[in-house]
Amino acid sequence: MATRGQTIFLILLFVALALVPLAGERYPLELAVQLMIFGLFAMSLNVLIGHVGSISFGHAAFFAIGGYACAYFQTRLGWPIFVSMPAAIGLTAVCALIIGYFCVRLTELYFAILTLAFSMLVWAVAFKWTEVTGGGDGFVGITAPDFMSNPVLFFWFTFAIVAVSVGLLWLLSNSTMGKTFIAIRENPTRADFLGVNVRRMRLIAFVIAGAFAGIAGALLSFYVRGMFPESAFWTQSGQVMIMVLLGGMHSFVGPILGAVVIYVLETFISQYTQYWPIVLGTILLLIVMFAPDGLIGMFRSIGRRMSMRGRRNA
Amino acid sequence: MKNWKFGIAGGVAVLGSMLAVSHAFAADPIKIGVVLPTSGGLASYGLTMIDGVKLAVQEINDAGGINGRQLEYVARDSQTNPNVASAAAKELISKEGVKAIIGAVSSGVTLAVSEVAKQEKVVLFAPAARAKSITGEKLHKYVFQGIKTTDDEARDLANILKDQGAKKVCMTGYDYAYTTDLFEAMKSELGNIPITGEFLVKLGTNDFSTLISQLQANECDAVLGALFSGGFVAFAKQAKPFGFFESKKVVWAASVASTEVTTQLKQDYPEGMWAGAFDFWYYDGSEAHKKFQDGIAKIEGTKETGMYALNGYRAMYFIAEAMKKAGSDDPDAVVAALEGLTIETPLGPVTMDAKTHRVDAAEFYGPVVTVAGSDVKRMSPINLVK
Amino acid sequence: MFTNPTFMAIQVLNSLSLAMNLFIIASALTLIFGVLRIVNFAHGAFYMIGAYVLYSVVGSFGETDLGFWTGVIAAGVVMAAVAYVVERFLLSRLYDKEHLLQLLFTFALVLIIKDAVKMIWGSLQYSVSYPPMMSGAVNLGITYYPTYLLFLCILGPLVAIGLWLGLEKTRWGRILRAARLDREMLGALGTDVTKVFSAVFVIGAAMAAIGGALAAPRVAVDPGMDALVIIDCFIIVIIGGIGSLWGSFVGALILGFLTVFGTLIFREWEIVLVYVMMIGVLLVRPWGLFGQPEAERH
Repeated sequence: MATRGQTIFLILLFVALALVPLAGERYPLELAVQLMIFGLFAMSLNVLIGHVGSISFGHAAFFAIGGYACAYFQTRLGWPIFVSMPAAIGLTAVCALIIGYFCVRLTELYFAILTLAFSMLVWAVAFKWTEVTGGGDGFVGITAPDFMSNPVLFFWFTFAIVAVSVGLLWLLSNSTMGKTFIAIRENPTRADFLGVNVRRMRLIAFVIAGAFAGIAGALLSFYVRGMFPESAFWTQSGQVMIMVLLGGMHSFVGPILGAVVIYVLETFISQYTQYWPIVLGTILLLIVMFAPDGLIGMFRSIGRRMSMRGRRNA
Repeated sequence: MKNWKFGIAGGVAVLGSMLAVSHAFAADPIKIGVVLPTSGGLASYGLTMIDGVKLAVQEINDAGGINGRQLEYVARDSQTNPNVASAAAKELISKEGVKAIIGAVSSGVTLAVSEVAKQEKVVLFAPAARAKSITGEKLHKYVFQGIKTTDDEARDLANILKDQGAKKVCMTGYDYAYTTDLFEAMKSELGNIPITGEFLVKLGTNDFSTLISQLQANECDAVLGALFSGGFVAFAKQAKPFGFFESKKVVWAASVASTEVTTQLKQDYPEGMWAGAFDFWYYDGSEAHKKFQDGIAKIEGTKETGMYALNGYRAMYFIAEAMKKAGSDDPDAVVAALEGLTIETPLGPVTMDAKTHRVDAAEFYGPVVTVAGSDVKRMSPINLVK
Repeated sequence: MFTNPTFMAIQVLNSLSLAMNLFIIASALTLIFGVLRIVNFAHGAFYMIGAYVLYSVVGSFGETDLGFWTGVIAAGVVMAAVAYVVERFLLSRLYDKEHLLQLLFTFALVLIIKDAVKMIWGSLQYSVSYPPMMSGAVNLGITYYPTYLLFLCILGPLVAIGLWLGLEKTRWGRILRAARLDREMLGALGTDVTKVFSAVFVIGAAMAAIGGALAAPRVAVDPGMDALVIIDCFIIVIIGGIGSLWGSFVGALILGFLTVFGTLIFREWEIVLVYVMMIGVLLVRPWGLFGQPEAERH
């Protein structure tokens, strides 16, 4: 659930993002677009991990499906963007419904492994189905609307879609359904006892998470003008999971914060050393060991200590 | 609730970090982007190629730079992931201000970066990917391929197979664009020699026992292999106890005669098998080659250098010479200068075709055999095939 | 092709040798999985460490039989030492935490180990030869078959029987089986559960490394060698049933035969087939062919 502080953070974040084009330089625009795409991807995963407490290790499957579908509709079928993108998101949601229907029958470890298996299946199909996906080389060179060649317009396009998506996710997290999700996370047995259809609610969460991952994937396909099987590989699922964990999985804005930190660190550290993975591994290790609630959890506990000291001084 | 304070603090921090990264770039040296893998399974190729780039930059700067400006390369790890490589290319272009990029190794990543180059109107020089789609169906004004494509490789290999008197050929390789491209070209190059089997295995597999027995059971008398690097190493080791290399005429694609591969396999390298390579540290064909090898040896700290250094070196010289000729680093002028440009390389002159954007670089082919005084096998005799 | 008895015999042996090499690695994964309830993504990285250690030992001893077998043992010892430190100081603090944290912990290990391997051994590929005493082929009457692969075919069942005896006939084995079923009860009965966990993790890691060392002569030793083996091991463990020794034995056989004959019949679509198989088992019998459904699952 989004607290007041988090809501303010979100608003400020989007105001800050809206100011980026004013800098008049290219690179901040590029970075902001990448951050928004991966931030949305991480937030979509958090619907599963943070809200209903289902650990999916195959979320990249929907990221890839959204991207491939959008690329295919745009390029091979020549659909206009206002048809192709909703269609791609719809297709991703249908895939999430089918895959989710099977996955929500299992819980915990088995759920994690089944999602992993499905995502590897999606990867294998993307790798083999050359006629549609371009195979191992990927779907290269998608037909994008003209305005996307302009970095500033592409930025605003991404900004609008991500802002609306995050707004919808915010509404979800503050709705009755969002509260039901959290009840399931905290105690599925009790939720069941109180008359919640746990399996159906988890399926709904799965489809919502998949659809938003599909939006992120579609945006990425426009951004890099292609889609590649690597986007469905298990390491991609691992990366987005790290983002969620780093930011803080039980908070609304945590994932977007985690995505920003990981992405910015990766971009800059890998310019100085080829050993970025060991840095990421160490960060992850420290978070797991010492700050399992992520950055948001750290901020919260620092905040609590500060306000306690404030009270003592007063 | 003091939560809003942290909201503001966080927002300011994110905004700050975005502005901090947007510092302006210096205009003075000419920066060339390099997008190659420096981590993961292909890291050794990327790192060796970067050594070649580094040597070329040193030499060019020592000779006075380009039109009075110093040259500088900025390298980024592609992680052999097209998304990462695309983002890195965009960063190099928009933040470092590069006008030309050297990259990448695998065909998928190269195509992804090529798409960025096309959008951003920046030169991309692909130093090591053979896939013909790069300058075939995905050709655009700004992409150049600095290595022979699968079509050229197929012609060279078909000639070797014909020389060896192959009557029926079967082919094997990873299920990957490079292999399918190569095999398609082989079919037309082999002419009336029938192909009796094509065996593809999944990328990254290293258990070849099934494949080996399939090949042995096939009616073919000659085998064309296209598994690359680690795949070939595993195949050679697994096939040896079956007597595979004695049972058929075996010719291998994918440049597995390289020092990288021979050093690994040592005595396990199939004796007398024909294969190719881009370069050998022990080749003593010319003064220019010796000078190049001495330079690379100094950078790598060993005289037994890898073959990919030449690809990076040649790519950098092509771009530098084109910039000199164009008198600027403007991509459109550089493209015009690159088209039809001939440069001197350690293995003789190489020309970039104006139309196809492909090179006529020579490569080595020959049998790899035991030589006196070395536990690593070498190609002997060495044939430089244009 | 399928009517040629020599060809079929070789394919069966190929399936077996592949299966047995994978079994040695996967049985260790199922042990850790079953007792510690941890999805160990680092298992592939442990396998990789084993191969690299073997390479280094063979490099300093020369390519002799002694060098090779010393290397195999050294792989196990080195990995056991590393695993002990990791378990004692890091992993043991996570046992009462969420699955996600444990899973991400092993993911962090993958990233760190891969880069550490690159720092120590560089990014080049290496190769190790078969041990000289097993470099040839054996005449089986119907066909010649490489000695080393036959050795793997025999070693697999021996390891399985050894583990089975250890689990069934020793006090230690009883404790392990009890830990798999109910760790709280075991603790209440006075067994130091943390020591059990530590031992399982160390033994499991050492077995993965030995499996990697044994695989090294057949593959190229390089920084990417862990990526596929971990997925293979997951498939085996899932098919067989988490925590089930004979399950992973059968799972390895199924995967071995599926890989070999799947490649023959479905050619390169075999890549899709294994995941379909894995999903099928998870849906029909999530606890695997030989596992037991857990009471607490809802």
